[in-house]
Amino acid sequence: MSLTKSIIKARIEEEMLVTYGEDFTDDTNLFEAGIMDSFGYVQLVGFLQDTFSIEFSDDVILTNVMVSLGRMIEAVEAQMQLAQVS
Amino acid sequence: MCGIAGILSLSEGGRPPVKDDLIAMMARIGHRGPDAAGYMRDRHAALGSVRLSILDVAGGDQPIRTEDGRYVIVFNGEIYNYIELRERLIDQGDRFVSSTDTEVVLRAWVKWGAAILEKLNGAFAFAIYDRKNRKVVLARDRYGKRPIYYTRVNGTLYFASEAKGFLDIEGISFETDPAHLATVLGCWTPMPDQSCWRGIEILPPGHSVSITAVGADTPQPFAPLRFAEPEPSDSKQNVAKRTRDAITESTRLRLRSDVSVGLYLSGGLDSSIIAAILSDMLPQGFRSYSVSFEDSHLDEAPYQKIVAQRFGASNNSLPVTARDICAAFPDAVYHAEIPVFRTAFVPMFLLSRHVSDDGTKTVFSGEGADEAFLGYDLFRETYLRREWANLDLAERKARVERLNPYLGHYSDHSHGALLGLYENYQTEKMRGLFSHEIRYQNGKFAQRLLADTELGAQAFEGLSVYAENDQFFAGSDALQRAQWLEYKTLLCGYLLSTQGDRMGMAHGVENRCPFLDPAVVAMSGAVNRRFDGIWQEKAVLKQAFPELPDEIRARHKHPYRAPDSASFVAEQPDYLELVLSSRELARSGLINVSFAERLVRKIMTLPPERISVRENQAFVYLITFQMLQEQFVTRRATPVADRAKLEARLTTQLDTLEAA
Repeated sequence: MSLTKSIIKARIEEEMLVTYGEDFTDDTNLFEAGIMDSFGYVQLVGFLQDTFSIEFSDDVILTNVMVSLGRMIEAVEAQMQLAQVS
Repeated sequence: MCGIAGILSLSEGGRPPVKDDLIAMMARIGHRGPDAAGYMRDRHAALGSVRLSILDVAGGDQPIRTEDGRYVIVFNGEIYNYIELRERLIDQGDRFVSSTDTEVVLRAWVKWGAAILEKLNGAFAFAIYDRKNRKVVLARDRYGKRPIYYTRVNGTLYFASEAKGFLDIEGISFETDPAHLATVLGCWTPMPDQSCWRGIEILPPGHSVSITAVGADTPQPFAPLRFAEPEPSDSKQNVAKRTRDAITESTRLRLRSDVSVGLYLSGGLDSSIIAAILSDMLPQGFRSYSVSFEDSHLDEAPYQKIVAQRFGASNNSLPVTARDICAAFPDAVYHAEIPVFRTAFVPMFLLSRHVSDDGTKTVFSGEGADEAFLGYDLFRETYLRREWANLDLAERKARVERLNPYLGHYSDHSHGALLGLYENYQTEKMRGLFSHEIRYQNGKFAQRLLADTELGAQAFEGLSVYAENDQFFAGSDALQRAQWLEYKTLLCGYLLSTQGDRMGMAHGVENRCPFLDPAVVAMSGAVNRRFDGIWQEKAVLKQAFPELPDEIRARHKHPYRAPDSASFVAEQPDYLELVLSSRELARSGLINVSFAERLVRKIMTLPPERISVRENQAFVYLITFQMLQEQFVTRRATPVADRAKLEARLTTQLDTLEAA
């Protein structure tokens, strides 16, 4: 498991009172599963930006709606790569 | 306003109604009618009333019978157009012995039958017994302001204004209905036909049901919820005038009372409008009542003062602290009878006590305005989500910025993230429930409290089917569907019941809602969205009542809330054990103990700003559920009903069995 994944997974588990493998997997839509609400989503986006020192533009937010752990990892890694290139 | 109860043993060989059972039921709901009590009983039925005297204080004791003794009524509520109906009946030869609305309903029923129901403008639940045909009809007002429950045990049917009326009847046990509980957790309220208790029915709003020796028929609707279509050709000036006239007339009708009338003044737009109207109609002034909180995010006292000063109200403000909420919580939960998602009903319990102590029995309140005039952000959110795909980025951001400013996570720094949220919610995923998907998906979190994981999805499916079976809903647009769902769920299932009727009647205080007049509701559809589309909150009301203070006109709707889980964490009341103990959590068998423990641990250990709205809600659900188990199911903490007090105020006893 990548460091990025383990950090995000742990945060979801802690904040949303769920267990990876039991309540959600990489592909679970966290909204539809009742795991993430608007408050949790906003908090999580803020957490990702602070923890990984990245910033999501509006376009990125709208292009990749981070509804699952997998999509969050994708978005974070893409932003980190972009930051390295620039 | 009153409470009613009854026992029906309509078959020939059935056991006659037991007087002690009726008295026990009346004592259980005695808080609803502290002024008088009465009953009638014959071989087949017993009907009881506890009375809060509002009209014809001296001459209106119940039950009331027709001269020939064939029809008997017990009535809870008020019919605001009773004078007009009375005049029609007198024109047709009826003679009245009282000046009550109850007698009007009885005589109108005898003359016109069930056709009278849709003509009643009021808040009511009643039972009429036809002794000749051995038939009882129960009926309930169209928006669900007054409740009526019924249940059948061993061939006998019992009914009462509150489910707690059945607590002392042998053979009636209280068990939580898991399917109803799943609906409450997911949707914030039960469906209109769910009581939360297995085997106990609640008559849905706007329905009547006939009960004979054979049993209870299927409840029949008499006033399906409908909104008028927009009338774009009407001038804006006329739209504002029509709106003002309808609400003013509705308020005038609701001033019909033989006792003084007060006002619940929240500091929001709706109760301010009623204050403005009352100031015209009551030049001598009037009393208003408010709650205030220490937490400035919840407190609306500054606005209450502005309105009271402007419109000449003598305002009584009741400060409510976290300690007050914790202390009153068990009593308020007992009166609520169902699991609740927030603590805001508790200050209303305290306020009604304050109002009663002040000598006021009747208060106006603003309920129903948000549903009729699109006051909630949910309506704007629905509109935004429906239009989302057609908007450019700047428009999306501009509209998101106008939503939910009272929620911390909707503050400026979050607008980027919120774009992602709404991007995910632009198409319907829950059949028929598009407008409420964000709320209901949050509800799935509370449903994780259930041990049975299948129940959650079934609850939403049940609501989808219920809504789609309504012809008007099926043909409505997204906004009308949102309104319809609000009327059918949050309004009748929480605002009018848990936070309204139950908390008011706990201390014998009835509320009157000018925005819940059928003419106002019907008209709202025609006039909404004529001013600034939907983005200026209740623009039509602001146009219709230009005398409102600028501070009230300018403020964004502030949902009435009270301190939630933080109160319990700070005060540590003894009953917290109900959620801290694994053994207690496991007792009902309905709770997912492991999830509940994680939730409670988080609530108890993290600072309030780390606790989300839905976590607060799930916690309040859990503690109210656990408390109800103690009060209604295991009976380890059931309040005692004051039977002696009830018997002391029995003014009417029509007992053919005892006489025989």
